[in-house]
Amino acid sequence: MTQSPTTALAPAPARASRFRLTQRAKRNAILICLLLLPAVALRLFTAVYPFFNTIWLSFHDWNPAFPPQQFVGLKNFQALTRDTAVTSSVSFTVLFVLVSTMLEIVLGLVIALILNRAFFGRGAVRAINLIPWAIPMVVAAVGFRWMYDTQYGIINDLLHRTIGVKVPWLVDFWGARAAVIATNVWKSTPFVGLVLLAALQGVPHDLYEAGKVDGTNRVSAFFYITLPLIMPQVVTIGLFMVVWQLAAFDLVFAMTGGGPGFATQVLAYRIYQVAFTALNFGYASAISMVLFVVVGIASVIGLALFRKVEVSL
Amino acid sequence: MSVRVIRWADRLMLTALVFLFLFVVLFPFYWIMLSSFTPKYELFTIPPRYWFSTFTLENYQTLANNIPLVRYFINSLLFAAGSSLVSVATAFLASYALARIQFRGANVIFIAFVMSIALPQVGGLVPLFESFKATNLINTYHGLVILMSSLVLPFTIWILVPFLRQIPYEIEEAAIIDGARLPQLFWFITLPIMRPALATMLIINFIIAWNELIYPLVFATSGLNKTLSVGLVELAVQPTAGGGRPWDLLSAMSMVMIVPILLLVLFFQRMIVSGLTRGAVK
Amino acid sequence: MKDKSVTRISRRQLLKAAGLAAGSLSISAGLGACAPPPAAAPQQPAPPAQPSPTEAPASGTVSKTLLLAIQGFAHEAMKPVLAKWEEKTGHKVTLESGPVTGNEMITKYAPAFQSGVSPVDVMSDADDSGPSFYRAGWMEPLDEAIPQETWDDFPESFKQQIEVWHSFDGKRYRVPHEFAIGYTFYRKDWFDERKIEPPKTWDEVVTIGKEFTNPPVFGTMEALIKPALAFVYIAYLTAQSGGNPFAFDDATAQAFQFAYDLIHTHKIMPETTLAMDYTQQNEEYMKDHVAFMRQWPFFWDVARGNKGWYQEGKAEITLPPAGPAGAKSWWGGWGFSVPKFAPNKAEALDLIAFITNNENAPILAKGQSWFVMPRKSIMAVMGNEGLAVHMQRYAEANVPSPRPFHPKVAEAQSVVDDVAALYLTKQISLSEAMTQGKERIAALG
Repeated sequence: MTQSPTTALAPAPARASRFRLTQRAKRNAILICLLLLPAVALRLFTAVYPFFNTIWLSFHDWNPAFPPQQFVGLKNFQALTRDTAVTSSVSFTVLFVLVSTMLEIVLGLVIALILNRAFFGRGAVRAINLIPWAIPMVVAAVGFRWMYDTQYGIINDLLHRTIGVKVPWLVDFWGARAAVIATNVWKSTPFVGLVLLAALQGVPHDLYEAGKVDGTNRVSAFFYITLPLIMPQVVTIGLFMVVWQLAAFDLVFAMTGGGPGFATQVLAYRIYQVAFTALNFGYASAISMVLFVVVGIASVIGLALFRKVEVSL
Repeated sequence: MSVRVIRWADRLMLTALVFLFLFVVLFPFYWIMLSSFTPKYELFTIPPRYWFSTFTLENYQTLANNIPLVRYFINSLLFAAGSSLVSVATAFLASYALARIQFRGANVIFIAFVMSIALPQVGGLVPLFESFKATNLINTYHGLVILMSSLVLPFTIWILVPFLRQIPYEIEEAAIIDGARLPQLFWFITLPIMRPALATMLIINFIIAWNELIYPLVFATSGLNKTLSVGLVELAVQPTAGGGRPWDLLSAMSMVMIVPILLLVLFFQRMIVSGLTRGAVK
Repeated sequence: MKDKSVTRISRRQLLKAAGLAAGSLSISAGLGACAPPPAAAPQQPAPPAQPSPTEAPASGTVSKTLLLAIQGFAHEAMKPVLAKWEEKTGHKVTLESGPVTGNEMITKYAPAFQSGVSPVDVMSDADDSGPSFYRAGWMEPLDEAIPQETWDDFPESFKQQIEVWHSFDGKRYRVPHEFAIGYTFYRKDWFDERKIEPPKTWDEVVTIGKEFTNPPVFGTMEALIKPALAFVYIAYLTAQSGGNPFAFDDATAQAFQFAYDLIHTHKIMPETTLAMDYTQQNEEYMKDHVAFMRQWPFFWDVARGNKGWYQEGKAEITLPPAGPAGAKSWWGGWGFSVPKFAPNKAEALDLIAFITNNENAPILAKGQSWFVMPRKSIMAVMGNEGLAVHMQRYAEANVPSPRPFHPKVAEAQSVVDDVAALYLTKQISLSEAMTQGKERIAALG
């Protein structure tokens, strides 16, 4: 990987002399290095190096409480296919991530559009928007568990008062799934909203003015002007939420523990369990690899999408 | 006439949406706040209460007796502020390279950064601890900041790159032609244009760091560097054997953790206000 | 790099660096290359045997500061005893809080111990973390530090538990300071009113339970949410049915079936308990919704602290109902340990012997009910008070049964937890539960 990256300063047309070109290329290479260096160094030190360790461990039997550490080839991966706690968690992991992300994007867009309008107290509302995101996960998880309670919970009480039903949310297989996803969406949407709001700020205002002259209404202005312009950010944040939520386990951990049964078990939580209740680091690394492959697939799809929207810009 | 009706209907819908939004966001929060001011034994009633039964500060007192709140608070503040500054600064530099200088492999590096979000944090703890031991970073402030800024870095780059690409290059180009050097270019041109995005990322990273549990739990080994989030898992109902988490103390603790963030956001949100981008991008 | 004479070389280097950076990152993208990361720590984790760096000054008489980690609520009670030790030795002890669950204990300490570092000198440690820690060689054996009279202070019935849960390979690593057993709490006022006795057998649990059940009031309740709580209950019932929950044999099946019947057949326990934690369970009891239930000792104080509700007779303790194998209840609890890598190990060993000795154990117990256990020295001082009365009663009736053990206890427990949760929420049948459990336990090796 030592061949020089072909470099060219983005907008400038090629200058005449060949000498100056190399000068420019050199300057660019230095620049790229200097600019990327801090970020790359941080990631190498705290993420990539530990990750190599994870890959290496995934082919080993390693539990500090049960020495010795030894190479076992694919044994961990074979065990994984027979581990019901892993196989049962795949479907909810996918469901959890996809449904959450879709809801977060749609609701986040709505929030961003509202917060981008001028109205009295907008500053305060923008601050309030971040409250759910700012609540620590453990608190949200325990708090919502109480709120979903059939007797003491305000959610069921409100449902009872308005439509006369009570749902034993966390006992029911699909109820628990819905409850976990709803809590997650409640907590994460404001954050998506904020990012999309920042994106909306980047949309040049005169485009709307031009639209007004052309007689477009708000709805079509949104679909024909705003949305295409902020599409890169929408895809960006969407993909980010997918990747981020694939690796998150704290909500499930503190709210349902993956129950009832395996109804709300996610892969990342299983990794945590295996690593830090059982100290079974070898096996936990193997599950991490599976998760990483899933993320890899998601990223490739995302990259394709990303290229597409960039081209459409 | 009809224009006026449409405008009026539009206002009405906006107001309705704002109120609906406020209700959904604030109601659970309101309930948590209510809990924090309710005596332990009156927390749960049938049907649930929607207003204070007995107002008390008892939960906050118990909390302060259980946990060195001031110490943890200062630690949290330093940790979150440091991490968000370092991460945004590093991410800004890297994003500039990735978005503005087109070189082969820029996209690969970009996507590699993004994918590295998924390098499992939990799986890496043991090797990380060993590197930290070798570099004397355990239980140090800068060690924690390094970890945390690295954790949010990919995401920050991920957000900043499309932002930069979206902003037309002409202004910077004009400055370059005028002979501006890179630091000047960053300071006078790029940073102001990026201000909404950077301010947003500062807030977001601050909040993520503020609520981060795993890294401070493992790497802040003494009270000297422990954060409020670690305090959350040190709260026990009573002497228990695997008991539940104490809602009276958790709710009080979450208020302690949320209020500073609200103030911060109120302060910062002026920076996200539109106008700057509008003015700059023609 | 700014030196012009080496421009060509430095340029190459820089390009190389850029390529390296790109390369390393693309490895992470799974493309594969060979650039070694700069933080060139050994790929292989450091052997745990590596000695800890001692930063202690050479002179032995210098006063040292020790760190003792224990949950925040116990700090007040620790202080008088620590003050005595400080006076005796001239060293200082700083109290540090710790996580409240075994899971978080492991998360916090395992990376440090694995790297041969210990943030603390003495720690209070849980059943869910301790055995893994000493198996991994991260704890200091205490056989020499703790005098025999301290061990003799524990009742004979503790012997087996100490051998299994506090020792490894014939050495002792942890001194118990908590006695957590599942007590049966019951509404004496209700039972007196109906002139009946609390249930003595499983059959009576059902008949008496039915008598009280009238939703929202139920005969009994048991919080069963994941993680771990279903295991706690199944282990309790298996102790009474005379088996081991990890065996997944007939006795385990009997316990599973009984729990299932309470919820789904006899309906004397509400389905909602499947998603409750102990706080919710206690709340139900104190809302007068429960006639009798198994609960950990802490409920004694919770109930009595609820001034607006508590009256005598509302939360009394009776012996557990007898299953096929008698009236049994398993116990466990936290204990003191010294990490092998403790910065001040010699002093730490002296300190742990001091705080657990027969003179100081009762002082701790008086200060905090978490430290009350059936040690002779403690019972001599507070045997007729509060919960200690029942503790002795349970001991005399031979109720305490050892906590079920498995070499890979954390994994085995989560197997029982998973399978029980699936079965009790009707996602699998009893025979499927037994097969699945057996297979997964076998897979642990």
